[in-house]
Amino acid sequence: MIDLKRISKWVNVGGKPNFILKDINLDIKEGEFVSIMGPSGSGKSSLLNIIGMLDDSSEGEYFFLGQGVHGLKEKQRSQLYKQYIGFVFQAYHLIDELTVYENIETPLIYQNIKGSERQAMVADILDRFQIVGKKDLFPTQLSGGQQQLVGIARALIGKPKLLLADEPTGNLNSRQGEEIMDLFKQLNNEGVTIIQVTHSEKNAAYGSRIINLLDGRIDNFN
Amino acid sequence: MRGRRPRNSPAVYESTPPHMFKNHLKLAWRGLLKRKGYSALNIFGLTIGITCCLLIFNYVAYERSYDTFQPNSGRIVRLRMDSYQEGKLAWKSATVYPAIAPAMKKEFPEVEKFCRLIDANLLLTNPEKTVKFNELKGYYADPSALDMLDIHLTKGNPATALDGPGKILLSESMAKKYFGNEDPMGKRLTGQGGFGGGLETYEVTGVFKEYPANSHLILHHLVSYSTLGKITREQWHDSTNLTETSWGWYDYYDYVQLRRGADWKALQAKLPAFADRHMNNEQWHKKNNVRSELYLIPMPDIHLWSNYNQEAEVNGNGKAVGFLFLIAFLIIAIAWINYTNLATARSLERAKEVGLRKVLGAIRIDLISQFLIESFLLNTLALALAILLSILLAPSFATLIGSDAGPFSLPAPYALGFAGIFLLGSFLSGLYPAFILSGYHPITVLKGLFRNTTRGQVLRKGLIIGQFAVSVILITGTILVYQQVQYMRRQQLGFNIDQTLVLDGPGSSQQDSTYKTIFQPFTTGLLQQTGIKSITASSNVMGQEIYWTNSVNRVGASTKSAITLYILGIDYNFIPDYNLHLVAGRNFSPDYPTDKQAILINETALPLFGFKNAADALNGKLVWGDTGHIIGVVADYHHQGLQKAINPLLIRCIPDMRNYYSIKFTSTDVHQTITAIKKAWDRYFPNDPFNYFFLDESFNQQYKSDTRFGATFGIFATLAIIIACFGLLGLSAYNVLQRTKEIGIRKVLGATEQSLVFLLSKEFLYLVLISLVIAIPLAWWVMHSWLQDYAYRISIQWWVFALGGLLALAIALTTVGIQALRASLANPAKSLRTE
Repeated sequence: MIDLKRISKWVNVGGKPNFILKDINLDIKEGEFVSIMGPSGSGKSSLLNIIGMLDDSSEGEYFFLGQGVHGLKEKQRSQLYKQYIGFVFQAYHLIDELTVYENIETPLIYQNIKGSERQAMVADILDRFQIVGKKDLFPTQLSGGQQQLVGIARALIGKPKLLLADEPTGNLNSRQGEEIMDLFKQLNNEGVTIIQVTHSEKNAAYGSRIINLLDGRIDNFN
Repeated sequence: MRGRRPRNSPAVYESTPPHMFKNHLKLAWRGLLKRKGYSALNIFGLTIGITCCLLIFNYVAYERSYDTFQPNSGRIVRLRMDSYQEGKLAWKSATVYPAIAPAMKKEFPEVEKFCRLIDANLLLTNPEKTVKFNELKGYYADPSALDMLDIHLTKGNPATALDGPGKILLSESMAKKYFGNEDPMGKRLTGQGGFGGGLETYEVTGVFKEYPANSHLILHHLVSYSTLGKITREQWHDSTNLTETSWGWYDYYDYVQLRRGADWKALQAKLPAFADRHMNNEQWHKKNNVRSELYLIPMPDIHLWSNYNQEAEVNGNGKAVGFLFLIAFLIIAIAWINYTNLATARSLERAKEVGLRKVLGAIRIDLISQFLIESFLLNTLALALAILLSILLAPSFATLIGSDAGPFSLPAPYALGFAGIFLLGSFLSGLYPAFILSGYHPITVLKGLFRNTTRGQVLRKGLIIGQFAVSVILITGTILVYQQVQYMRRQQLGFNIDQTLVLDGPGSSQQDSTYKTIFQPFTTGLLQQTGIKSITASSNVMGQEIYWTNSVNRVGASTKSAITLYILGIDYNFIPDYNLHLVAGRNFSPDYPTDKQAILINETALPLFGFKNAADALNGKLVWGDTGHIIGVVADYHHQGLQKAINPLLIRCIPDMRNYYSIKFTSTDVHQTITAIKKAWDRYFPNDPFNYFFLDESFNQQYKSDTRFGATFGIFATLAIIIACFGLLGLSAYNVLQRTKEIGIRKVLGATEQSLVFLLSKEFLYLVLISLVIAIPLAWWVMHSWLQDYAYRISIQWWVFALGGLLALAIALTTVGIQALRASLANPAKSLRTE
């Protein structure tokens, strides 16, 4: 599903390239549940952003479902990721002005899905996540765990093949964190490919594979 | 799957689908409610801007609507004339000769018809009811005027109503005034005055509907043109049929209607040859070295662009209307600039949302349309409020500006024009922030790397500079208009108008033979009253346009050409009563019987006749039909105020002059004085209406339009500054917000409050200073050209700009400084903890 070939990312600092990612080769099959681990500044989030097509690599090739992502224009990339990828953030990143229902609905609007269909899809997922009663509340009226649940629901509403999660439990207490990880496991069992960035060994263990990053490289000795 | 294109073609996203529109609108509405302060600032600013714009549009539309109610106004032109003496422009009049229009009809096939009007100021009386008024809004008119000038008869037959001497038409309200509810048709009125002097009897042959207020002519009565012909024949013993053939009697308004499709400019191009043929190559013109030029003015332009001698009514000022129109655009532009500035400044706040939406699949065009919809929502709310305000304020605005425009309404072309400007303005003011905001990269924003932005700062700064430049121009303009008006009011006029009451004299209703026996006891009686100092009779009083002119030659002078002099007829008391100063010679005196043939001239007239100085003119002789010898020279005085240049004046000694009586009084009990005068009047002139005015009031009327213009200017300048300050307030608030952490750190490091206020205000002060550099030359240029319309004007002082600039600077500093001070006083521990 995901094929990264010699991906590097750098920024110029004082005229010299400062490598964030160096020479990453990575192949992730459909149905995998991958955890990316590593110390702060090792490039975990940058790697996730490149996989999520939110960022460009400086060098190397990226094939997503067999299609070359490198060299696509922003609009085409946006087309691609809004169809296949869902994002979950550590800080939830819900839109404060929108209700739970509307937050979940937003990706569908950008996918041009008709009103009646959207209604059915949102109702489905509210039901599944057992947050029907919260649908008219605004994000600030929810607990952190509930907000992240909405965040995940929003990520899943477009029926993505790939779910990218950047420290999804980082702002949650351990009980809420466990609930989210159980949910991820369940989603993975249903066939959603998941890539998560995490600091927690325990959370990483939910996945089927762990990738360790150190100074922008995949650390193979671990 | 390699190489497969995405499922949907990107082209689908070029336009915003309806469901997205609804979503955006909903979001915009919630955002509006959430950020109440910001929204209020924006809506308030926009509302003020749009209201000003609407009110001015309403006024301009009205001023430009003059005479458009006439179905043929597009084809009717009025003639006017410039006369040159020895190559110098001596006379610009709205009136011309009666022979011109018929000659044009004869010689130019494109002229379809013509009509002529000439003042018929009559003392009209209904002898049966003794209703009597001095009627000043009437004309002798050709029968063709009824059709051409769209005068609708509600009674009478338009074909015959003006077709013979002695016929009069009355407006509906005039008919009511003289005849009450009786049918006026066929009834008689007597009229005195006008060109006849004697008493005429008129038969009412019709009643017409009055024109609406937006007409350059006000008609209360019309007398058949042939009546004037009869008067000249019988009373002036004229055998040349003057009213048809005169090429010298320039009191006529000649209107000409062109055939359909004819171009008035093409006709005007033929007029120089026409003028040469009929006037300039004729004996009299050649002998006196006089040249006349004829011009046409389309009827709809008369109100705003015709401002010559002998206008039918006081016309509007096209230049001032244009100025206001410009101000309307500037003010609404300032309001939109605010919106743009505030919206881009707020980008930090909106950046997270933008990044997020992009991650959720929004592409740039989605976001741009979202922000544009926000802009339209705000603008539409402001528009709704502005329309409401305009309807409420229109009457007060009309009073302020001295307009007769009725309730608020915009004719279709103006409404459409405004709609276009509104749509374009809302679109453009929203477009830039939309582009800035939609350009953010999602990762930087969501990762919190995003702190500050330089995006849009250059434009933002440019716009602030523009706003303040406009404000400074308006402030300095206000100061200069005010100065000019004050200057005109305070300038030494060369005569004394204080404590002067002027009576309309009996005019020609008194016979020459008996007049003296009435006037003498009238004055003697009055002067015995306490509080009445003196009384003097004259043909005109100060502040009035003098219509009485003559072509005058100097006897025995080397130049042969005649000079047009303005004639003032006065009695012996006029010069001392008005405190006019004689630079040479003496005043008229009853002790010199020969003074009836004596004349005075003013200083301006001296060089025209080749007199070296005032003393040189004494005993010189001038001839204009009569001959007079100069016994004195009057110092120049501003007969018509300071807008107009001083005209060369010939003052004749006519003790029986009875147009105006100027009464100087000392009493403080004005009411009692008037009662006493009226009592004397009713005793000696029982058949003449008693009309009076205070000279200082009537004189200052001349400055009324300038005073109004100044007030209007001042109000819009104030509003422009208020709107600009809203923008500055919003911007500085966001600026401070963005730098909260920096301020905290600086405070911890020991920065004083003053240094922080300076730090935060500095940037804005620079901008205001730059705007001064741009505004001052522009303001100078604009006001310099405005002042050119005044014969006597102030010189523009440098301190006016310094004051205007300082004012703008002070206002900006206060606005920004308050924000800065608040930020600098905040507890740094608090602002740093939030990080």
